[in-house]
Amino acid sequence: MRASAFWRHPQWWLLPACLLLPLLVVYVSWGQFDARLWSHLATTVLPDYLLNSLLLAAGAGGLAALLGASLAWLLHFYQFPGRRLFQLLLILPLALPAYIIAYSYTALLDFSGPLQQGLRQLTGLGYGDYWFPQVRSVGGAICLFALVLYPYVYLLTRAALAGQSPRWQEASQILGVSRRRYFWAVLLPLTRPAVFGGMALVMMEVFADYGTVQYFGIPTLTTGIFRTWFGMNDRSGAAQLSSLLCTLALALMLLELYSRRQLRFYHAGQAGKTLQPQKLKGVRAWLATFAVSLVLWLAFFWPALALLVWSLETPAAWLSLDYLQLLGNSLSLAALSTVLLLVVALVLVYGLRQGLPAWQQLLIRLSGLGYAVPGTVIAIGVMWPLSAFDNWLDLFMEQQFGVRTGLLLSGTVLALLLAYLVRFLAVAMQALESGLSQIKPSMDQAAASLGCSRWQLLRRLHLPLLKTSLWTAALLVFVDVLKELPATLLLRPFNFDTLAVRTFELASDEQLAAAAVPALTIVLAGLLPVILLNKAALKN
Amino acid sequence: MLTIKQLELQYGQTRVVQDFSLGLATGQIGCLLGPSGSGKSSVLRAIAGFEPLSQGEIWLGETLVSAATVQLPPERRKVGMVFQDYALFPHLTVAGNVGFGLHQLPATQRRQRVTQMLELVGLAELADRAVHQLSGGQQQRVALARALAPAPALLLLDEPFSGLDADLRDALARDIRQILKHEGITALLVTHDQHEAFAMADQLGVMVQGQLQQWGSAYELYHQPVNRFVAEFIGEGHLLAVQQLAGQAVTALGPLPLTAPADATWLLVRPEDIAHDDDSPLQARVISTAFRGSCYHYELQLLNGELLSCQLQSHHCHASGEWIGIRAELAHWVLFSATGSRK
Repeated sequence: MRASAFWRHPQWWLLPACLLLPLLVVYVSWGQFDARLWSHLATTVLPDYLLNSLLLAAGAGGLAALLGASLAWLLHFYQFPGRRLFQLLLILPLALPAYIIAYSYTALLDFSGPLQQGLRQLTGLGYGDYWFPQVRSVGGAICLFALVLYPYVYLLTRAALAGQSPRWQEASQILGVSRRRYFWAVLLPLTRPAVFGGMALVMMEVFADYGTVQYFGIPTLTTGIFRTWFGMNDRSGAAQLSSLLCTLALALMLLELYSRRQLRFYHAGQAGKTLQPQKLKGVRAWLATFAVSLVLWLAFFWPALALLVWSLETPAAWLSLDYLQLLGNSLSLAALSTVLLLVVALVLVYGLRQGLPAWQQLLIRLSGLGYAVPGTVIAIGVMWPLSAFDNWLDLFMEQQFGVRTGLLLSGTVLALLLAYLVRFLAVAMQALESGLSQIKPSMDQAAASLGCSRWQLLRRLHLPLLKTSLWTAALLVFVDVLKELPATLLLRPFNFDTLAVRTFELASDEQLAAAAVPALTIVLAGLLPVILLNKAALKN
Repeated sequence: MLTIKQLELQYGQTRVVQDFSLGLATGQIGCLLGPSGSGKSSVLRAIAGFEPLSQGEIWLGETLVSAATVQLPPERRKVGMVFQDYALFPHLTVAGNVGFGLHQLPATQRRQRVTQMLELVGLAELADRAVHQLSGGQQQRVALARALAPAPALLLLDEPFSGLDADLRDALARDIRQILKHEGITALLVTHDQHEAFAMADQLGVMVQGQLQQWGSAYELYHQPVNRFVAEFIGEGHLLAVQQLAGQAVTALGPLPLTAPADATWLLVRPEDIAHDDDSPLQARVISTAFRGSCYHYELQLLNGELLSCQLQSHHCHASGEWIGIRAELAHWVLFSATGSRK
């Protein structure tokens, strides 16, 4: 591209640069280093924050890896009753945000919950007569995270196993290698990158979580950022904590990238005849069915059914003005963000297709980083520059014209939209890019040679071909925005509530039954992308 | 070394191979040739021990390895196999792949054997490369080295050259034959490409629809095909109808010798059986020509509509549509009955 043309297309360098700004801001905040604050933090809460965050991530990551990999392995190699159905159902937990399963389980398992009541009636024991595990603990959080996040590991491992050539097993067999050695020397090393990649995604989600840990009262980096911002009113401190969390998340993203690159070499391509799963017989078959059903019951059906039952106890809540208001807020906010996200993603994706100079391509790639970064961090990164601008403008206007503008931008929906844009841009870009990659440059050339103008090309060729990816991208980001909690909590305008925010507030006030209606709405919306994912998987 | 008796293979209800017998002596290279779906790969997989037999026997030396009730597991057969897609392990280096089947050897001996094998296939300097960094031909050699490393009694090769460029194929086929002959390895290869088969094998078999039609040398398959299947699958050529005229068997090229059997219906004519002769009364029209460097390949049509092909010096050119004089120069008569079997 010529130098003169380069400055004429600010959308391909200014736009991605702006989207990277919130991430840079949290690091820039170290310019206002306050030694007193940090020595205070270091001697009091910081070790807890770090330790708990790491403990939760490692524990949930490990447990999810174990669960997801064993499920993928069981379903890939063995045939047992219900296998085909399980293949579809096992990704259902993706529809449950961790904070929602946390409230459901607290209600299900606490002293007055149905399980303990049932146990007391059965055994005749009373309060204090028996020990029952506490859900609201680090261990409880680890288990719940693992239950809803294992599908990341399961999906990646399943794809890796499907990409392995059945010839590898035959080649090992004919070389005199036992099944056990084949497992350790071939199968495990070839699947390991997929398991690690999935584990990295799980840990990223755990780092990003605010709703669960806040509700369980576990001090972590995310709750620490909220506390430092609101409780101590120390903005640079919150931003500096955010930069710590951001670094951890980006390190995990690198691990995920690395494992994905390895997997590319490990994929056998067209594997020819696929492996026939081995048929389990008798007790072992039913044991497998039982084990998978148990995971599904615990990770999805029990908490989701509980939400359904609670929400039907107060059927009027579904029609209350309050709920409809929430629904309207959530839907319109999600719709607005979706449109914005699609437009920006389209512009950037087309830029990549134009063959931009390498540094601009890198800039566009980097603008997708937000997906790895916790919403809390992005919220802080958005809030900081906007409020600085507001303060500057307020001061300027007062001095010049005697008019106070107050918080012009930072308290508005604009801040929220910007945060969603940064957080979910990668999702939209990925979906659109895969669609656009199917439109080969030779097709453009063919259309041009047949007399299509650029506008006609877009309308007659690209739009029809991109339709599916546009809908996919729209659905994915719409639901993601609908579920988002921490950034919404930090940035929403005063008195502007969404379904996610209200669920969190009601649950925090121990009004678990009342939280069921908005929570169930979020879960139902979350089911849409899961269905989409299954449809795509069935096609292959 | 390898003896197969009356082999029959079934997938569910469909019989993919039947009444299949052959023998391969130690040090010989055999080849199964046939169109795709003819069951040749199934035979190979049955010898390796991946497919159960519904009937028949497979013997390796003095050991019965497969029968309807016997199936020695693949790892105990001492058989090596080169897979069509090579099936190299992507997480291991070249040396790691070659040494994969040598796990029972102590480390130093294993290293020695790996080096020896890599030298044999000419890849010694690539030992530490990752597999995906190699070209197709190099990957193929690694697969061969890996299969040969445990010193198998029999080596099986399943379409070993199908993923490679035509130029590379010929060169590799020659190289591999040399390696196998030098090491005295008994091998059985499966392919649909007869050039490959002729370049590699001592003994060849043509398989059609699950049955072995003929087992013999390349010369026998080409010049003495047992039936029409083999004649049409191997080499180029056309069949001319044989008619009885006044007690004499005649084709469009002229009368057959008196010794010809009475029920012969088809005569096989290869391109080299036809010579160009401007003075010959026998005329044929040129339908198409193809330049092949050393010669011109002509498709010809006789007056009665029957087709022939012939090869002429490349300096000698005729245009399509032109009538030219030809003469039959058959060194021997290959005749088939109405059912297609050799007379």
